[in-house]
Amino acid sequence: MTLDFSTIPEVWPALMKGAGVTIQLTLAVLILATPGGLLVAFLRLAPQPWLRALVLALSWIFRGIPPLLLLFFAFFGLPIMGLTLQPLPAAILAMTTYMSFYFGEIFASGLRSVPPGQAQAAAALGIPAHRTLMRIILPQTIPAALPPYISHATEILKGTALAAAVAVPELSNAAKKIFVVTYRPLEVLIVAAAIYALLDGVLLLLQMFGERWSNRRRAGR
Amino acid sequence: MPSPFVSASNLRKTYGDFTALDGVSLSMDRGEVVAVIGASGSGKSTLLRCINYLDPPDSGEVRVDGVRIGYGEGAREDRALPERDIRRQRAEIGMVFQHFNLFPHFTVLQNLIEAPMAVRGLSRAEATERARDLLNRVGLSGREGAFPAELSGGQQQRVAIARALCMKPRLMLFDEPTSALDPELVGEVIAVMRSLAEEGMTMLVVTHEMDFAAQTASRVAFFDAGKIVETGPPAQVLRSPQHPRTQAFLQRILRSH
Repeated sequence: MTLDFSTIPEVWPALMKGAGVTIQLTLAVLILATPGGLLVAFLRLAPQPWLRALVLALSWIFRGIPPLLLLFFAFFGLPIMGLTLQPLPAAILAMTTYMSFYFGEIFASGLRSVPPGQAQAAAALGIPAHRTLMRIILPQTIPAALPPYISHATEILKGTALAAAVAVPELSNAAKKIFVVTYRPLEVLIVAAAIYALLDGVLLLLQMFGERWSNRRRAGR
Repeated sequence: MPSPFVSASNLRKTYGDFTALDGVSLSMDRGEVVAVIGASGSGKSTLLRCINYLDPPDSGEVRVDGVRIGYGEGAREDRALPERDIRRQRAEIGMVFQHFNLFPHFTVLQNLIEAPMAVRGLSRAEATERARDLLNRVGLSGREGAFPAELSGGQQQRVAIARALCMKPRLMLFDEPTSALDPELVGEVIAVMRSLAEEGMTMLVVTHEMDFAAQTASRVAFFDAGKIVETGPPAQVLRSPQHPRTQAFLQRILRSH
């Protein structure tokens, strides 16, 4: 077996276009699912037992369904209910929904790791609740939440390949379209894999910088 | 007769089956230092947390400098306030916790200036000036850039006292401020509290430090099973307690020392 990468320069623009869609999709889901996850986390810790139970049930459902099935619901199911989405928005919706519940669990355990004395001290000083959350509580969840957050962001990146199933022209889809024409699947797949690894590396770098930043500010209790 | 500076009347608080406060009344004059002593779990900390409404009482009322805590002022005094407004009232009451509860991701200086800037609307420069002044008073000038974890327990508690004072409170609540400290660090915190008392701060101190109660408090209240069973000048309550529960408690304390 010999590898022949001579066709790669020719198909490079198509691969880059696919990579662009992959990045777009990853960023969109990250940007939407992060506040979504915070919302889920707050509801998971709400004082009302019924609300906690409801969110726990939804979390169980959305984290239990294969993401591909959610994608099919968004793309093929919603039009029947009167909402027709283009492939990319459908993929963003499906992935944001289930990632919000994953992030929700991460953020909820991060929030639980902050001692209750922190909120009490802020309340005793009269600091408003929203400011307490933004300045006192959330920053303290970062050391615990950052590593699982980044590893789930990596899952989002890899998960975008599923969107090929509803014809989103992302990287894996682009690779497939190329090799069915060139008949050299191995070379194109290797190059596509390398691009994924590179993007993944960017996320890992972010994690390293983030950890160093939070370590510098970290302290005991 | 002028009304007392601080008055708690008939406070009740239960947690499930447990009665933490069983009709507690206490009044304090301006500048008075009251030490609350009693066994662990007798409801002493709950009393402090009910006074600043960190944990609102089930019934009873608290007044500080004429203002009913948790309720509107003047004609609206029968209207319970939302948490947002209670926080504003609470800013007038400093609280020091057993475990310091400093913000670990903030430097000492940031710990001190956060609330004055957020609640009092001070500029960073004004808050910093006030904070440096207070750090100097608690003997920690020069440590403003340190993170709490870099300080000893005694230093952390002194920072926590300075943080509360930065709000210029009218009343200070201390919840067992030296109980989490190594014995050799207790003295430095007591010294700060003593100088605060000498400056005329009104202080309500839950403590196991009998020396502090004896030497600094103007009055000692003995707390037992959700009630204040005896109150009076330290010499009277500590040397010749009237109530059998107080006698038993003080004997236990003496034996363990």
